[in-house]
Amino acid sequence: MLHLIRQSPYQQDISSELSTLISNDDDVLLIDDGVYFCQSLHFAIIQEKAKNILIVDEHLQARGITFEKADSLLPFAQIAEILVQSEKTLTWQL
Amino acid sequence: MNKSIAIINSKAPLNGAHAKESLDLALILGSFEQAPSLFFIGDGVWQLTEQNIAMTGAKDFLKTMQALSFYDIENIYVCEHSLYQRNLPNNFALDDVTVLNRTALQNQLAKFTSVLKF
Repeated sequence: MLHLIRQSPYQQDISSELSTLISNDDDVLLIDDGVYFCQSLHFAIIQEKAKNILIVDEHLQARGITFEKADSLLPFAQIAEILVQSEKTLTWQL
Repeated sequence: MNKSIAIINSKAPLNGAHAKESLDLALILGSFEQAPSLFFIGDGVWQLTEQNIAMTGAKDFLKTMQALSFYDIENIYVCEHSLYQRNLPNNFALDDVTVLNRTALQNQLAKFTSVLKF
């Protein structure tokens, strides 16, 4: 299952729910304010649990955040492709 | 491949309209022979305890949960960890609620073709 995380880790603490729902054959796509996760302590939970992590490049840049692992960066134009490939998604938003 | 729908409830009853909207959706799906299974995690477990939200002037939509079985909605799962975090006992306003630990809950959730989270 692909977890689409669109909410910031700082506005509401979903760390416990993330550990509950993300299993280790799930992938995570951080979009919109979800990109803030990569500069938060809770990112460790996602890194430990999820198989692949993708972060929308333009959304990071828009928020002035850089992320070191270039191969995790997903161009905005490819979001649809990733969604089509994944057979099931779970959206996390406020 | 027939569709199966899981609805995850993660908000407390009076936290906006999330809980009510989720219940409305579950009943609608049930009335169209698409009965969802319900998962309660995080603050969502507060939806299952005996309470009286009408005291705040809110509509007591939790009472409607008693009608779930009438809509063939019989699979109700609760996250054991969330109950533990909130010091809540294993008794609920609904009967035959299944308490699952995290791994069991994940495995159960994986069985559904679509998952919605409120």
